[in-house]
Amino acid sequence: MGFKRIKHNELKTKSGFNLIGLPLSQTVQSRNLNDSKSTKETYSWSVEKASDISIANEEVLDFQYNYDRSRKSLHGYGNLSVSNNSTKDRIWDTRLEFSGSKQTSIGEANEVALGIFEPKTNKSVKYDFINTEEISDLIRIDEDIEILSDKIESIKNESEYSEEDVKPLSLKRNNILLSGRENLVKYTIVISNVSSSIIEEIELRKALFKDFYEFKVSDQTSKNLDIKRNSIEWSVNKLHPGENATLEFSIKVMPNKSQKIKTGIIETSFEVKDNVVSNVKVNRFTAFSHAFHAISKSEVNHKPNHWKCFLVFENHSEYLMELRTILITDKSKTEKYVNLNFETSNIKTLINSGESYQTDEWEIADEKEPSFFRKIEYSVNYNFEKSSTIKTYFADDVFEVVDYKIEKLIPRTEIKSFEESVISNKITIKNNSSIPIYAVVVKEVVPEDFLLPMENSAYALTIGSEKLNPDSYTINISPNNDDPSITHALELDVNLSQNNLTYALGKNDTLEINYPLRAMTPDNKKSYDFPLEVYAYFPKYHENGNKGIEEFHVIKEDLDRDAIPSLNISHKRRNIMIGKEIFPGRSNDEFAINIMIKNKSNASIKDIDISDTFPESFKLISSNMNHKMTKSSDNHNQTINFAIPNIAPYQEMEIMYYLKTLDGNDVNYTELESYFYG
Amino acid sequence: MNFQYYETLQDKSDKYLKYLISQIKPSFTEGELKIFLEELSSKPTKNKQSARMNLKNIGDDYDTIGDIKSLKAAQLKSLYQIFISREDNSKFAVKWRFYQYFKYVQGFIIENFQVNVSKDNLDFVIEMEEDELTYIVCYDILDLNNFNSGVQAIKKYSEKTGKVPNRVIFAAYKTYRNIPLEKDLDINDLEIASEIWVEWNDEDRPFNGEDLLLVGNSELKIAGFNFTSIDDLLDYVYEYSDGGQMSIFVQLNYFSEVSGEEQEVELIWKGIMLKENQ
Repeated sequence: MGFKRIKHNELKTKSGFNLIGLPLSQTVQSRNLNDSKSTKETYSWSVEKASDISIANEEVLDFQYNYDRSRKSLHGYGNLSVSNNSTKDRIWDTRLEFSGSKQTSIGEANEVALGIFEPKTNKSVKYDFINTEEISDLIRIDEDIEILSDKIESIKNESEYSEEDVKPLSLKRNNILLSGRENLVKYTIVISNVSSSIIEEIELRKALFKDFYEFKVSDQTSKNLDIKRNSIEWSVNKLHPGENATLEFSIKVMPNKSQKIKTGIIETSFEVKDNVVSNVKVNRFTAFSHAFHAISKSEVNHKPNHWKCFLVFENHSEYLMELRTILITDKSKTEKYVNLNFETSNIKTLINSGESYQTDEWEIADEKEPSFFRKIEYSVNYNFEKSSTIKTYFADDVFEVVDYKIEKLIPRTEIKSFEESVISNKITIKNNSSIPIYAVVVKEVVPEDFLLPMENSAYALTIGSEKLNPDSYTINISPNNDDPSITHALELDVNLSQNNLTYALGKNDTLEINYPLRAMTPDNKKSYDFPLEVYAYFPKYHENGNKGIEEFHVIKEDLDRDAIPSLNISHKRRNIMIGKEIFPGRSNDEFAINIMIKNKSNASIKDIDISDTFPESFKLISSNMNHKMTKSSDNHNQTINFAIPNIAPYQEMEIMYYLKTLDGNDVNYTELESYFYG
Repeated sequence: MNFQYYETLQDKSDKYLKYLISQIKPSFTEGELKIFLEELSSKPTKNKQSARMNLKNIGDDYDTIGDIKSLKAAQLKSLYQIFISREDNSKFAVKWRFYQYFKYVQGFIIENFQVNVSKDNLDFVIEMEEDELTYIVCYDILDLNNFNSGVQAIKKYSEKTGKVPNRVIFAAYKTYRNIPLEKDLDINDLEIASEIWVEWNDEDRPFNGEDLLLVGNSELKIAGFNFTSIDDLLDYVYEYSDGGQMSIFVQLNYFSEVSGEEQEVELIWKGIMLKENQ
């Protein structure tokens, strides 16, 4: 419930919301603070020297604007005050004639009798502003907020409407920040004087979010900047009609999802000197003080009963006095001896304190001392000052923190080298932002030896369970051919040329893109990269009322290197060796036959069929593997057959079988060595 | 963020308003709440001659807390508009906000506090220690006419009581600059300087109305809307804590957040408050 005691100096000079009326100038304020004794003299001298009577018309207006710069409210009041600054003299019969306007609570023609003013007193007439919608804006504040990042681009699609038709300020803009990253935010604030008056002593206060850091501004403007904890204050001395002043600064912020980051309100205060917004005018001011007027009547020496007359007006007050009219007639008011109207002249007839004014002489014949009717209009002179103090408040908005994720999936992780095969390619884009993604551009570079489908229909796009109509996306393959020896670039534009928002990606929506990729002659010695870039189009304005012009923040995302799915090109060539060795047994008629199968390749070898033939003089004793025996048609030889379904890469397998000679038969070793098939 | 104007408040339920009003600090005593409500309902006094001063002692029952359970909707609305959203800047609102402020402002040792519940201009008569008198006149907007009326009321009361104030304070929401502070008031042939106190809202204060302020080393948990500047807050903490080494934290948007998530607190002031007995 805080209150603050306001000291005398502060009351006169301090700026503040709670202090009504114009503060004294900074110069006077400085002098006040340094030397209050001499200040008083200086101030009173400066006022009284100009005039002891001052009329001040001061107006205070408070403009409030929404973020889209539409006016929210305007309140104001005015004060027409008359001050008797003299320390000694009074004024009386004080009358003030003034005219108001349609925008004020005082009527068109007014006359108020303010009566007597004691020394050092003032009286005032207050009025309020009405019909404020008819009062034009005096300044315009444009604020542009830009994120300086190579990931963001601003794009404007123009259609048949010209740019002049569009008033971007009337639209509520989406200001974005990138989630989880350091954002360099550039603010550009432009104050434009849209009035016909010179505005002065402009003070602008811009509120800044508490977590902003690394404020930077160009040297040129920093001289007039005061940087505070959560705000900056910028002062501009003067702006002529039509002139602008620009403040540019940058600041950093790293938003997280739960934060509500505001763009910051803008408040300004400024003054319009020698003018008031309402067009209230002082038409006439009269007040009287100590003045003496007399008619001197002297009988002419050589002409008895002839009188020479003149009027003298003496200013006995300390004020400067203005003579307006002098009318001197006879009693019946038929004959005018003096008829002066000083008001018709552009130059005022002013009489200083202690000085006098004397009319020309006139002569009249009269036996008696003549009498005259006289009417003298005069007034104390006054100094008139007008000024307006204006405050404006521009509301702020909340930054939209944007975030989307891209993923790529290739279900088949391995293909064979130099063999044609088809792999499916799946790209998903999930919108985690609070604002929709209106369009997406996917760019993928497909290296040589791979080919993209050329037909639109080969690409399947879905949002949730809804399949996108092929009309809503286009593919562009460059170069547009089927030559697998060169690199091809795919650009898939989703919803880009459409102004309908049927397929906008709302919060938490996922766009899934599936298409086949043909591997033509993949070479295992080459390294294949499939760089993927996604450009998401976020709307720049809240509403789609910008008739024909779509403006977007385009945010680029690359697929992280770690997120690129691996595609192995397997190069497998078979290399097998099958050998046979005969070992003699324990006795002379026994033999062991060893068949060694070595897979020396990185490929599995399947369905190996091995047959060995031995003469009929041998009989099979045993074998370490299932076998099949067949006899030749002439019964001279027997064939043993082994079927090996698979032998893994770099695996060895040993087949051993034992033979024994039949009794009485000769052993022909040559026959044992021969007729091996496998 | 500060609290919205009453008309734009979405939840105007008695339960919610009573919750917020229970956070108004310093708490109203039983007597204070009674006088406030009587004056609010324009039935301030048994004495129907409203031009006469009707002074009532206030704040003596400092060990009681006014019961807000039975407050009616219109009363809740006024309390909200005066003390929480501060949209009401009438003389009545300024008067009671100033009273609340005066309960903890430093530099005044109050012996007896009297509030005038009649329509007369003089609002508070305060007896300080050593028989020093302070007269307080409150206005929504202090202009020359109001100032002169206030001076006349003080003179009239001083003549009647034969007592001359040591201090004269004009409290206002806003003031014109042409108030002749440089000129002493002539009261019963004594020259007394007048003071102007205006409501002061420090826009750079490190907390907002919807924040919760936590005072380390004490049990104090106070709503941000009670204070308009850090000095204001420190005065309150000094008055209502035991002093010593103090840390004040802010929990942002405590009164506006709907999520049940644990919110972070941020240190906004750290220092030592020495009291006489320490």
